[in-house]
Amino acid sequence: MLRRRCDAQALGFASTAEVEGLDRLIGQDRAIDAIRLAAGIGHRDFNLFVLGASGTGRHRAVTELLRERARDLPVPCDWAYVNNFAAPHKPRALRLPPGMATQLRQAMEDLVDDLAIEIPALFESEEYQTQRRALDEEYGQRQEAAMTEFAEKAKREDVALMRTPMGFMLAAIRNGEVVKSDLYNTLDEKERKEIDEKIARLQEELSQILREAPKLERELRRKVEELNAGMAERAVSDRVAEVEAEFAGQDNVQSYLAEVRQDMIANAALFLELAAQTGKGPFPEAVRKAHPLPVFQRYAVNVMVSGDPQAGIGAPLETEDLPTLDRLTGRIEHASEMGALVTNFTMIKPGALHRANGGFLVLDARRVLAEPMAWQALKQCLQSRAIQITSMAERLSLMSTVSLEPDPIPLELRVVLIGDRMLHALLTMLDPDFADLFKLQADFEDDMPRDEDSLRLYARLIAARARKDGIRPLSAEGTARLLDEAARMAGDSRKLSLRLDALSDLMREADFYTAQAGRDLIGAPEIERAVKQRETRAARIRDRVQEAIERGTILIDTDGGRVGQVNGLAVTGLGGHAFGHPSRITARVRMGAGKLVDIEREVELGGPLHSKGVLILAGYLTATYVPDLPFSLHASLVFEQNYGGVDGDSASSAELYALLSALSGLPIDQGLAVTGSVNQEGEVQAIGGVNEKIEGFFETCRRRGLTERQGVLIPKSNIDHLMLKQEVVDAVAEGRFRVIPVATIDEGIAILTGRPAGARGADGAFPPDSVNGLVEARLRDFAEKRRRFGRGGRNDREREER
Amino acid sequence: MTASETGPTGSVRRKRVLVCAASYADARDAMRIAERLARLVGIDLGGLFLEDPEATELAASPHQRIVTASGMLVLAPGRRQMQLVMSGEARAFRAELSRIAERHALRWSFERISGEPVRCLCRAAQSWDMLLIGHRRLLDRRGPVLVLRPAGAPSAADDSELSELASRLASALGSYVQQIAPAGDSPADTEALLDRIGRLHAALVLTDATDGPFCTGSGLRRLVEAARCPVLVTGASALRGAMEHDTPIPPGPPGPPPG
Repeated sequence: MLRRRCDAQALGFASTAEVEGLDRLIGQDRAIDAIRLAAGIGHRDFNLFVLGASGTGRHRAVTELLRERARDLPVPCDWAYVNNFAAPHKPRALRLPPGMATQLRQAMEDLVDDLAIEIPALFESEEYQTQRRALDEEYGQRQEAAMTEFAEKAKREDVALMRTPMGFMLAAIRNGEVVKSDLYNTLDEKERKEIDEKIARLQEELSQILREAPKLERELRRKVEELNAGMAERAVSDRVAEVEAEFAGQDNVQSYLAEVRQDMIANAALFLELAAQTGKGPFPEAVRKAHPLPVFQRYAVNVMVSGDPQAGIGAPLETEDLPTLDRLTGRIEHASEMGALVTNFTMIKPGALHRANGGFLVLDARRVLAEPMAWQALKQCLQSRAIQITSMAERLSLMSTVSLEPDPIPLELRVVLIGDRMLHALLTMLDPDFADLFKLQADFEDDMPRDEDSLRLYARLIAARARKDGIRPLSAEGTARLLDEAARMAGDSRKLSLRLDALSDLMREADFYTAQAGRDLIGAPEIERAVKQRETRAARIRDRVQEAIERGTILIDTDGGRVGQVNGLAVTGLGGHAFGHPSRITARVRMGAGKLVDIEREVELGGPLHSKGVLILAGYLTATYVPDLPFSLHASLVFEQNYGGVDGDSASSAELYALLSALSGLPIDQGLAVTGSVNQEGEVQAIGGVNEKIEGFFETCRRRGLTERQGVLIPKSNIDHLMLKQEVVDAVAEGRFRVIPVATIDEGIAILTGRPAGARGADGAFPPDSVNGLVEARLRDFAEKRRRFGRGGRNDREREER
Repeated sequence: MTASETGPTGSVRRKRVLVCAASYADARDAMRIAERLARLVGIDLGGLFLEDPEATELAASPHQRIVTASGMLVLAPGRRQMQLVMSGEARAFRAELSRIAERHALRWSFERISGEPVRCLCRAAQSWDMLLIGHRRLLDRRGPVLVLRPAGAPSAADDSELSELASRLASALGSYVQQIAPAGDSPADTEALLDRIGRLHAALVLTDATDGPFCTGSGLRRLVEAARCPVLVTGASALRGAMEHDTPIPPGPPGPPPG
């Protein structure tokens, strides 16, 4: 069967509008069970890696299943960073019941705003001013009284106190006049001595009084500080007590508030300085908010994450589309102040791990691995079960500015990585931590078995998709055509592709054409048109290749017979589009020492699988022909006009056919193309891309005109994979083209040469006119010639020796 | 109108304030008050650096010692060095004066004179509305703004120009006003008043030379020595009677003539 069609009648509906939609994944039970296990299991490290091809609904399945589970989980606790008054560079992490972090933040803002009004008011009160004046007067008078008494004493002792720029100078007075040096010199010794002693004594006394001044200042300062602290404490304690009552039972909040209380009392001047600036803001004092001011950030509550227990969402389900280190673990921002970078705990920003803590975090594996240090940081957090914020600059020791060491926040979440199989394999092989941290894998299937039940389920899935995408319903024929395309995408007539996104794209495009046609139902023609248009858009390279073949730039024969030449088939894939095209394979033979030269391998254009195929066919040759003589063939094989490399063993049967033709001297029908790999037993094995290969050669022949003798030899085991285009199916049905399954090389060479392959008879020999008989005869001839050649050489040497 | 008044042509004439000091240390506190006056009311500003030759000569005496503000005993500088110090002090005083004047766009003048301080003050007073006599404060803290009332004057509900000015200055200095007056006009009452002033730690003393308790040069000197803080004297022209001649020292700033 070249194309297994879905029977629209068997679907049991006229349009998908009548069908109950199936809004869940099908054919992915294994993966879904794994996701459910990851969502439900409580043990640590059961993180999940979701692998599979894109478009199979991995993201949707993960999101839906995790969201369903998250709803049943409790809302996780809030986390906030607050100032560590003892060590500001080590902010404290506060754990709070859900929703309480924002409540605490608001309470602290209100506290600061209120105290910014209440503390200055208290310090401006008559009560405070009176006490302050009393202190000032007490200490001022103590000093002034001492000075006054000293001045009076000096006056009584006839000594003048004079001011100079450097300080006080004492001078004796006689008869109301200051005793200057000339008068002083006229005095007798005794009088001078008395004056000197008196002046010296008073100078000492004055010195003592002046030295007392700073002590009095200190004493007064302490008294004032005590007074201020007492006043501030009254205002602060009363207001903080209200906040403490609001958060009763929260020990860590109580402990924090106790520190806040002490700090506010000690730094009441901050509130007074703000009051000194009143009238400078745009709002009246009573309306003005103090908490946003930088000086009051020390009392801020930096909410990292806060849940809403009333929202009914349960645990968080977070995704991070750009999983950089900073966005994963959070970051500490810096601000420029006077040319220096500064920071504080309010500049700590949460990352995806903070937001997802207590729930689920879904990440794209490739993106995480592509971001510098993100994977390392993620692993580190999962291993330590704590979120430690360290910037990349710090990790690389590139930054020497002031930074913070915030308390690590305990981490309890399930990480789900979504990636492809290659990434999973690489991580498993190369990262020893991976298997420990990601114990579960959800492997999404690429396709599912095709049977009546699955077709009906698939049709319901299509109906649900159509509704979800907001497009027109599909007719039964349209649905059947879409299901055929699902089988075609699976590359197997017994399977249905699970790459639903690609089908969804087709449906949406077909809906557009349906709208253009003014119809209400998406039918088979619209789906067909969407398929063709998609192919046409992607087919520029294919068309150029076919054009080159048509014009003879690429040499391909599609008629007649040629010795040692066969049409192989290659598949070229670009993006999501793959196409097949013929490629000429030629073989040349001569007597030699048993060497098979694969030109592709010699020039390193052939991949390892191709080389393996060539060596296998060499094994087939040596085992099948002239087992009693040394293998004396020198052969070369080449993909003509191949400049871009070749890999895979799907051309190994074609190469063998070319060699057999070259050895037997029988021409191969160039109207046929060949695909299939071969084993050492001569069996033709299944290959990939069989549909594209057949269609590629069909296209070449169609362009040149179908001769009814043309066709493609495919492995028999590929029959189930046939989902050919309708035009190929029609051409075959009309006898204009052929698809010929073969099981063995003998079958194939017989079809290609038009002569039986031949089997060994009772005498152990192939029939002489058979392909195998001719091949063996040629190889035997090579061996005999080689023996004669060897003997002749030895005789010559013996003659020379004699 | 407190510190300004209308001139003969109807224009507002600004009060002229002369800051007198014998050192920059004395001038500094007075300048702060002058600056606040400039903010409160428009003023013309003068500076008078008084150099007392007697003090200079005394400082030049051998073995003369000085007690610094911090209580250290140091040898007084020699005559030449003393002159250098005085020049430096005068320059600093002038610079500060000009800085304040520029900041508040004030007309200003400065004079350095040498002579007996009381005489110099009295001579200076004739062309200025207010004298602000500088005196360094030993304690850097706020005390009351002291208003000296004449003997027998009511202190309560006093709405005189002096009281209003004191109130505004006290507010600007973050202080409060305290009014005191002698019990009577006798010398004993004056002595008692000086003793009381000496025991207060006033931030500023205000007195009116026309009817206050200190209306002579020598009385003013005693007041300054007792108060140990800047003294603002209004009606300073009343001190004129104690003067020997009418030469204005320093010359008043350009502008309308006094009165």
